Amino acid sequence: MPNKVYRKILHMGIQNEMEYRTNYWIQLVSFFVPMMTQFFLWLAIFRSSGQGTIVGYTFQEMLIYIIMAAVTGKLVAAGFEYEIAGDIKEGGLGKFLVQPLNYFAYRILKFLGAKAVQSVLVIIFAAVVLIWLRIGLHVPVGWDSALRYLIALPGALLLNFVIYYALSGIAFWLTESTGLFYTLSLIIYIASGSVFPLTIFGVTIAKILGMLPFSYIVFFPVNMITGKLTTTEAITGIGMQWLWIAVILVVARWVWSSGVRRYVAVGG
Amino acid sequence: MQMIWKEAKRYSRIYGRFMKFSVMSQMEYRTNFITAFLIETAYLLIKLLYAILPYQVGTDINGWSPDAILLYVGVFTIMSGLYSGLFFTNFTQLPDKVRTGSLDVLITKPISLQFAVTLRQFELGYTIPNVLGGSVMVAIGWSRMGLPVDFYHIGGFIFFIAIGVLVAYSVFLLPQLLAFWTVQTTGVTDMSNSVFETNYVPMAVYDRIIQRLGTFLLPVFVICNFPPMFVMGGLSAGMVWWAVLAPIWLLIIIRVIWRYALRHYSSASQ
Repeated sequence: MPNKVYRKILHMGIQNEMEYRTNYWIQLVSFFVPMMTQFFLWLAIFRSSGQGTIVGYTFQEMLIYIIMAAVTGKLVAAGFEYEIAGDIKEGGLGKFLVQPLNYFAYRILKFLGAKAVQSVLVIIFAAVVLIWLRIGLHVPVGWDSALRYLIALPGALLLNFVIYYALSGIAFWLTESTGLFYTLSLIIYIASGSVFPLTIFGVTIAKILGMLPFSYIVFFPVNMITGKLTTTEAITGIGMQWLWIAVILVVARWVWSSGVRRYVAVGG
Repeated sequence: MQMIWKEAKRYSRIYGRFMKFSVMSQMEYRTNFITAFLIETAYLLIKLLYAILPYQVGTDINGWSPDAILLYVGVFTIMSGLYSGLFFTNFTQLPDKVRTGSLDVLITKPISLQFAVTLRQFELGYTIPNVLGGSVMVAIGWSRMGLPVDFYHIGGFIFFIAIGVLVAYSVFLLPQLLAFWTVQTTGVTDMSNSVFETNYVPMAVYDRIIQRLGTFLLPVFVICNFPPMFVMGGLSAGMVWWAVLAPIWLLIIIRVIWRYALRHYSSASQ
């Protein structure tokens, strides 16, 4: 029985995503425009400086970085934290607590379901652009680096999920948590290397940020494809990624078990 | 003439009240204020990254020195504070007002509907971190470049900021007016935001065609580029004329579309 239920939830996630199609296409603009800004910014920087490498990247590597950072950000993006906060605040969580259903499983399956449709489109886009870059601009993206990226992607997705799942537990203590989520998501956005590669912070800060879990969401997987990592670094990175997943999963469990004990279903 | 003067006085008095009430309600329900403040502070960090980048790279970018870019990012920051504080909430609430029919009540009020709808809310929490942070960046960039501190430069700078505010009002109200015809989605707001964010970098960074489009067709670059270009002496006479004409022209367009849109408004069932 449970398997059937969970399959349905996965399906529900997919259907939800398909419902607002117009919105979806308009939102694509907000996916491409920042990429354009970054492209022209780095083009201008490389042209004006006349240097071959800047903050550790050649222009071609930076191109891959810009595109793949945006793609990765889109692929792993959460957004369910607001729904969870709503469930907690308005008492909707109550109906999950009394059902023979695991809330964590419900959330992750709905999340994956919603991702399924989007991911196919985004990955096709990324593949087309990368192939075009390889043929048109001779940007060296090999199959092996693409494969490395794909290996790092599930960890990035899961890591981002558990981070936001743990954070959403804040709603047990704070009634108005959405602003805090938004703020934290912007900080994670910076610390994950979505704005710029973390190397722009200089060696020391980049090293510190590299030890935090956030860099394994974007900076690390993207560097798998820019070819900035040795095989040892790649393997260590994957290990770190899954280690962080385990650690944050423990934290999330703790947050949620103490949160649920405080939880009072109002209305619902 | 006297009539216009009287009306202007009336509207500025009403606008004063709008601001007062907004601030009062934010002080009463402080969560929203704190939330807005936190979010904008985090955005300020992202803007700082764009200001720091040229120093890290250590080179001019298409003729803009790192100090000039710092000044520019400062202006962009001030502008985002003004745009999001003065207009953003009002604009994003317009589709809701159309959809739920709450526009009806506002239509009956004895003041301009466009005025009442688009200027009602003032979000102090969005404005404070940006205007403060932006001003500091502008001041540092200004003094490091050794730009003169006199009436001509500061007055001109403030004048072009004001132009930018008017242009921002017109350009970003436009997409939300779609709400009169379609059931609005959040996509339009996301799209507007991303267009606004093309201003993270000076327009000199972009391709010439994009520069032209962003200056004349959809003048988003007028918003943040003209104040720093003016103080650095990079604004041609023709551009100064365009800066004066653009907001007038845009406000007329917005007015025409607004009135046309309103004729399509058939209240939602209450």
